[in-house]
Amino acid sequence: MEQLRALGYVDPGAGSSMWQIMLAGFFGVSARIKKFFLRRNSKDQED
Amino acid sequence: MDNSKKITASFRDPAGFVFLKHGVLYRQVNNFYARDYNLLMQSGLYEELAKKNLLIAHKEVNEAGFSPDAYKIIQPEFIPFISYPYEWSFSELKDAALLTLRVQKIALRFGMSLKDASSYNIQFKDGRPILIDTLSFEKYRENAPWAAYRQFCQHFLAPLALMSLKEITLNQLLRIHIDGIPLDLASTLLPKRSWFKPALFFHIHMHAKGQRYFSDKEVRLESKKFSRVSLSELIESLRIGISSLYWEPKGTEWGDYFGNTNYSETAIEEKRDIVSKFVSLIQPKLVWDVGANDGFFSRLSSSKNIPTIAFDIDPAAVEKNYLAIKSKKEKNLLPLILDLTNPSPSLGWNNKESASLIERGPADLALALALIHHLAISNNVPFSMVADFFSKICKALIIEFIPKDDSQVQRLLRNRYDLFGSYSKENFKEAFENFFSIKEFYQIPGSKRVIYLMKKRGQ
Repeated sequence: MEQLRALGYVDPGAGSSMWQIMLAGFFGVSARIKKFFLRRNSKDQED
Repeated sequence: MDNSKKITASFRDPAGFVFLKHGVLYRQVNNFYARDYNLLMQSGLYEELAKKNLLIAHKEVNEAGFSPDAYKIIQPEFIPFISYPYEWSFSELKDAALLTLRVQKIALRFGMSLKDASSYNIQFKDGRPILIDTLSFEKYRENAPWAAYRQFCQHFLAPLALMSLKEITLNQLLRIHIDGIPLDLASTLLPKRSWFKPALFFHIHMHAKGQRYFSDKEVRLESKKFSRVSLSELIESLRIGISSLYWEPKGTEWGDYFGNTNYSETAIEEKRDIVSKFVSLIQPKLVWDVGANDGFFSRLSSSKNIPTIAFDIDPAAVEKNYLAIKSKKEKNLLPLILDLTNPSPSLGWNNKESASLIERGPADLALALALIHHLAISNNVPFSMVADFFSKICKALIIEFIPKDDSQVQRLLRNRYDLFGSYSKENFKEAFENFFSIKEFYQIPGSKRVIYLMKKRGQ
């Protein structure tokens, strides 16, 4: 793969971008979970 | 363009480049980058980063452009010595990585994003890392993935993971792979337990698989969305991953340095005083201490506000030195890893992208204390070649001669055939006097070791 990369036939950048897009779903869910716990904690403190 | 010289290291960037004019370093901002440069300056991002010492400060100057497509010429603050990631200790690379992520996080708040995350864009100034590439920012594009994600993983995460979990010297792979360690290679080299570390699982192992999977497929990103929340989470995930990587400096080549020498406490004080006196006599603007170990003698110059580079072959010694600098907030000392018998070469396109050690010199003064026997005996380098090398890297030299009957030299000879009949003070002096004139010398009381102050001939 290293040789193909050096010659420009393989662009690992495209795969990286696609992998980020795939991660987006995971990170989106993780952000929602964090938000939920933050809200719950602040509610607990208010109570 | 009289007296102007383009620094070829920045040739890949269409946004601009660095050039030298009358010994002063300038950066040309090209018309191509005008819009992003204006956004950087007008959004408040530049001010925020420069105020926090995260981005090198600059001033706009009225110099003529180096080429016709100049939009602006800026003069960045001076960095006394340019170092490269393969010369940094574990914590130096880690701090550079965390700085990059912190800058990216702040940039997003101002509607901008780092378009590259190269470790070569970071330098050390006043004991801490700083981003030196003012032209690394672009307007944040809503729903676009982070353009510098792959580069960050290759330049920072992969080498740090390899150094932490496999072998500390694997940062030397950065010498071969100048755009960072390929992720498939890092994934192969990392131990199995690295799969259980979330950041390494996602950003190295699965990332490498993703690159391979999409390598022969047509990728259309236009219809894909990567929200700002996801981008912030990605940055945070990388930050947590980098922060969780550690390396404990143990098993050092030198161990307890002063426990290993035959110096008494009084002799060490004598040596310190004479080296300090010699440094004051030279009044250097830049000092290289080669074989600096934990930087004990380097501090004789750095404490006088002289920028000092403390080179050592031992990653543990360099790491300890850096951690001490951090904890004491020392400003003029930069510890770097360097094997003197195989110093950093010039690398990259046309051998001009990163400079060799010699090209970054000469220093006004070099210290070579308790070093000569390691070069001449452990590595079979003749005195004449050692002297020749020092004449290329410094204008003045403080060098310690260790005689053959010294216990440290005897220790080196213990397990090898003595081929070193010519190892004597007379031959040492004769070799060095071909390049230097001896200005002063001092014999350490209670030992036969001699410290010389030499000046390069013709200086």
